[in-house]
Amino acid sequence: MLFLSQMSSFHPSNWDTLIPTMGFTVLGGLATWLYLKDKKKPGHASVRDYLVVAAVLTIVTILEVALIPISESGWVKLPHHYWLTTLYVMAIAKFVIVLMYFMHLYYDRWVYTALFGVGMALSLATFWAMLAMLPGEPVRTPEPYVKKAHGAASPAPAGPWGVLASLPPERLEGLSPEARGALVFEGLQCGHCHRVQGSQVAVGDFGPALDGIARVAAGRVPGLDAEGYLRQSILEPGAYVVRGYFNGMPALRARMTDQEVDDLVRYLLTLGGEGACRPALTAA
Amino acid sequence: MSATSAHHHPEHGASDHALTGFPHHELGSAGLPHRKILMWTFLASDCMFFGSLIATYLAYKGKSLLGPYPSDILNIPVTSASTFVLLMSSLLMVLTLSAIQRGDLRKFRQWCFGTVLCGVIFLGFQVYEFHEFVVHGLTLSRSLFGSTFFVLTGTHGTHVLFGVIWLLSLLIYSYRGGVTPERAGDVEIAGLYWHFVDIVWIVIFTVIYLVEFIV
Repeated sequence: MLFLSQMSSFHPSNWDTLIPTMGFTVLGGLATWLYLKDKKKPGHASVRDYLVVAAVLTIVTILEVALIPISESGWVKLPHHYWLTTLYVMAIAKFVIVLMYFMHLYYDRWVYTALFGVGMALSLATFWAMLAMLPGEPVRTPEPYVKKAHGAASPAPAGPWGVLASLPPERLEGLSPEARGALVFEGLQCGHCHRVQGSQVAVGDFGPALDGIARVAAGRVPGLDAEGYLRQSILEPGAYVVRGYFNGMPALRARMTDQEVDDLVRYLLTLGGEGACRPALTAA
Repeated sequence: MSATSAHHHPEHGASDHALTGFPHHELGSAGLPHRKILMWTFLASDCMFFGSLIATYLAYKGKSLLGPYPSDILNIPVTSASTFVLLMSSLLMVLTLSAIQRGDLRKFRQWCFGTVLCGVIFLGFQVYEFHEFVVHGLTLSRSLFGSTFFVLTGTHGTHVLFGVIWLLSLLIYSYRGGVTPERAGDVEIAGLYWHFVDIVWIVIFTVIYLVEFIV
């Protein structure tokens, strides 16, 4: 699967694309079953049946929402994608139950299921193809759900575990600081705004391109050497903004451990390639 | 019309009309009502519409440059309540259809009103939520999250609004004698649309709200 190879290494498993596949299979199975049952089954649901279905839907919804505090409590420890799958399975179950009973597909002629099924299949196939072609989302370990005070908006989820903690330890074994820094770069999706030549993922134009940054860093801000400048750029992005760009770099301090900041700077210092940072394509 | 009354469809005899809810001339040669086929085809296409919006949301998830981020402002308790309201509106919708199929006009109006009420309450929750988000700084143009969230949930909310108007029209029509068991198919089609809007919300609620906070 060529597309999947473009996925960021931070996507531990491509559950976002497996979900449509699962949905696909469920619907396919449903359609087949309904077709087979078509000839033998007449009838309607009774009011009592509807009430039972509504009760089931309510219970499943409560369970779905309850998964959040349950997963946070650590009472049952499961990998992230196991929780996701459980959640998705419950959602698909509700989806199918409403289709079958409230929308009457269980009792109706098979042709209605076929019509709807074609639309669902096309939708899921497009969904899957689209997600498979895009780099995976960075795994931002979410903070436990806490209702924020009015007006407060934290810049990024804070956590002492940093960016690399979501990778399996074997992945980091034996890596040089520069290589680890490259992973931090990837995990924070710096390439989304900062282009790096030769990278298929780092193609962003929001910020200055980073090719050759190692060569020009020292001369940017008086009093800061290359390493100092890079640190300032990462930790206090608003302190110095390259001419032609807007002050839009997010606060990233809270998302990295100290070691990761060092590694990232080490990595950036290896980018001494040809071509200084290109000016913005449009003047700010 | 006397020529057509001689037709005997394999699935429908004269006594089945009350069950199908569509007048004879609206059935095709396979005994399938045109408008019901149309509605299911439309819902299939609407699947693709929402599928692409949800895929876009997922494609841009986690890539916003600026806050507020989803974990900052999404409110699970309130949205769970609105989800429950919409779910119950689907129950009321099947009761509405069941009532008119039995010929119980009074119950039809009662349940139909209930469905409309639940729809309006859901819309109220959405308006409240949108207002809160804007107050906290999340607008359509603020960030990828802002754009994808408002387009997706806004489109869904618009669908709900159309459904509410449709059901309200049926309710008013029933006071003019337009809703009868022989034409229960009219209510059935409205019901299909309404349930579809509900199942789309099931997916949206899971993908936007619940997935955000699962550890």
